[in-house]
Amino acid sequence: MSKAEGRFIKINFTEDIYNLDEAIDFEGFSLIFQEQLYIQSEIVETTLKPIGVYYSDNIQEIILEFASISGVAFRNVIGDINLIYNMDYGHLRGYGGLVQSFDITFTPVGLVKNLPTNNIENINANSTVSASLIHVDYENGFDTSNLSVIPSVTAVLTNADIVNP
Amino acid sequence: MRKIPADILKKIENKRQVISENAQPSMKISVARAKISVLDSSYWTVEEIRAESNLGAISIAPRRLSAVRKSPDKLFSVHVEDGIGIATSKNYPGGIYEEWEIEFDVGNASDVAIAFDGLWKEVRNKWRFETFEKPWIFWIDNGILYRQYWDDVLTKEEIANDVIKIAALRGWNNENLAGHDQGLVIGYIKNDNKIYYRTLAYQEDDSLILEVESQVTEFTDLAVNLNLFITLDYRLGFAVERIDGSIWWLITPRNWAGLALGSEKIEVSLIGKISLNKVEYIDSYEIENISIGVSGNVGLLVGAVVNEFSEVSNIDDGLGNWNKIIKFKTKYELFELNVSDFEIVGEFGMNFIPIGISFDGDHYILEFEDFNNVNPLNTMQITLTCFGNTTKNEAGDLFNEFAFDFIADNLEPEAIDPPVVLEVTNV
Repeated sequence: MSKAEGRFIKINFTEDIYNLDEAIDFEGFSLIFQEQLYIQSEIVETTLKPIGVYYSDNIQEIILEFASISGVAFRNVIGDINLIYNMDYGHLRGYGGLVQSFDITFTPVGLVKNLPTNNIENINANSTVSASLIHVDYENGFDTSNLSVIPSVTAVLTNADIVNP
Repeated sequence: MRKIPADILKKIENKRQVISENAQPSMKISVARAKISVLDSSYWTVEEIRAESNLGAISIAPRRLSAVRKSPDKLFSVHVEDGIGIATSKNYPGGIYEEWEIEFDVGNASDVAIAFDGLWKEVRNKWRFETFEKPWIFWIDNGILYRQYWDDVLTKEEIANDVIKIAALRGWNNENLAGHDQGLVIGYIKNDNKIYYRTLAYQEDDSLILEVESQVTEFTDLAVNLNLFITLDYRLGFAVERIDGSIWWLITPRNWAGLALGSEKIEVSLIGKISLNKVEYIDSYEIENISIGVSGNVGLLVGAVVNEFSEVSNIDDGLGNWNKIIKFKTKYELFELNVSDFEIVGEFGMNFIPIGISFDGDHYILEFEDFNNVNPLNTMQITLTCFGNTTKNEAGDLFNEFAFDFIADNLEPEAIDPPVVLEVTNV
């Protein structure tokens, strides 16, 4: 467990938490924070759900584990982190009853950012239009005919993975 | 010749041979002679069976119809003479000096064997073989191995082919344990010089079957001759002559249990009591029949290891405390009670171990220091468990773990607030 990775959150309660495995529902937790997805990108808001929960050194403390698709969890956070618990989903409880819903903001420490260094890729697609002329015979010279042409455009985008990162 | 030791020589040379000079020599001589328990002249009887030209193999089997009698009453033999298998017999020991009587012949034979089937019977703590009336004979005719129950030609049967040598012997039968019969074994060498056998043995269902051919795969060399033997420790063996002239033994494991060690017997006796009741004849002209039935009960002690709690509840200790005593009943009586074998657990895992256990003649009583806080709410369940680590049944067997859920009355759990978050950090 490394603080720099930004994967684990510890919650310290006033009383022991019982039956953690049975009581927990990951949907009840939300970890909300601001981050950059890559260098020079805009700041976006990210919400993560835990992927694991464990007792810490004693049963008054629990640890939530987070992960993100990019693999950086909350290590690129900018500013504070907001942890929300909704008791309608989770059933954390102590000897004296259920843990009530809470919304707590804290400032993470010790994180080491790991922003992607790749530049933004620009994909340009040039459209090529070709027109086909269709021969039309006019059978009634007094009638007014309208010729209409609908162009169709097909763009093919090819995804290139990072071959030599 | 042995030399005289120097100190004795000095004594001998001494001119003053008097007692004061310790000159009264004496010698003690002990002679030991080995005792020979088996002598050819007394233990073995040498008899000339027959003197003919062109004699071949011979096999002899004694018959003992009663295991109680020590001696056989008749000898049966089959031998090869001029390429013909001939069966003979003679009385024994009364006819020891009589000629062997020719019974019949079986036709062409290159090798023969004879063996009795029968029963092993225990006589004065020793197993003795009691034969049936007639022996089985075996012979090879042009590579085909036949068997026949002595002179009964209807029993003639081909039992193997490509055979060049045979031997037969009745092995040990474990009369106390079914399925442990070595059987009447017919061992033979085939023209591939490998050893095979078939056995006429009693099966577990007591049926007598000539079992299918088996190869003695443990002997991997080439065999040219064989014989069979049994040992006094309940084994059967093959004595095999290898192609280089060396003799090898192959012996079975001991057919031990049930022969050397008798099986245990459990006997149940039925005791009946008959009471005669006085009957007054009111009508002396009518015949009355009095019938008495005998009824018996056989009690078998079954040690059930599966048990159940019932009637579990906490009770007032007489001082208004409902947090100290739990009483319960069980389906089967508990023995060797120990407090460490019991526990109560609340829904949140709070557990309490009793400090005392007793039986009041109707219920078992568990005493605790205080189990008020086993649950935060009185509506929550308590689980009483007996682990079965020390508690036994009437037969002395440990019970399997068993448990019971109940809701306690009148407990006063200490009020504790629900958990509240103190701090959140990243780690």
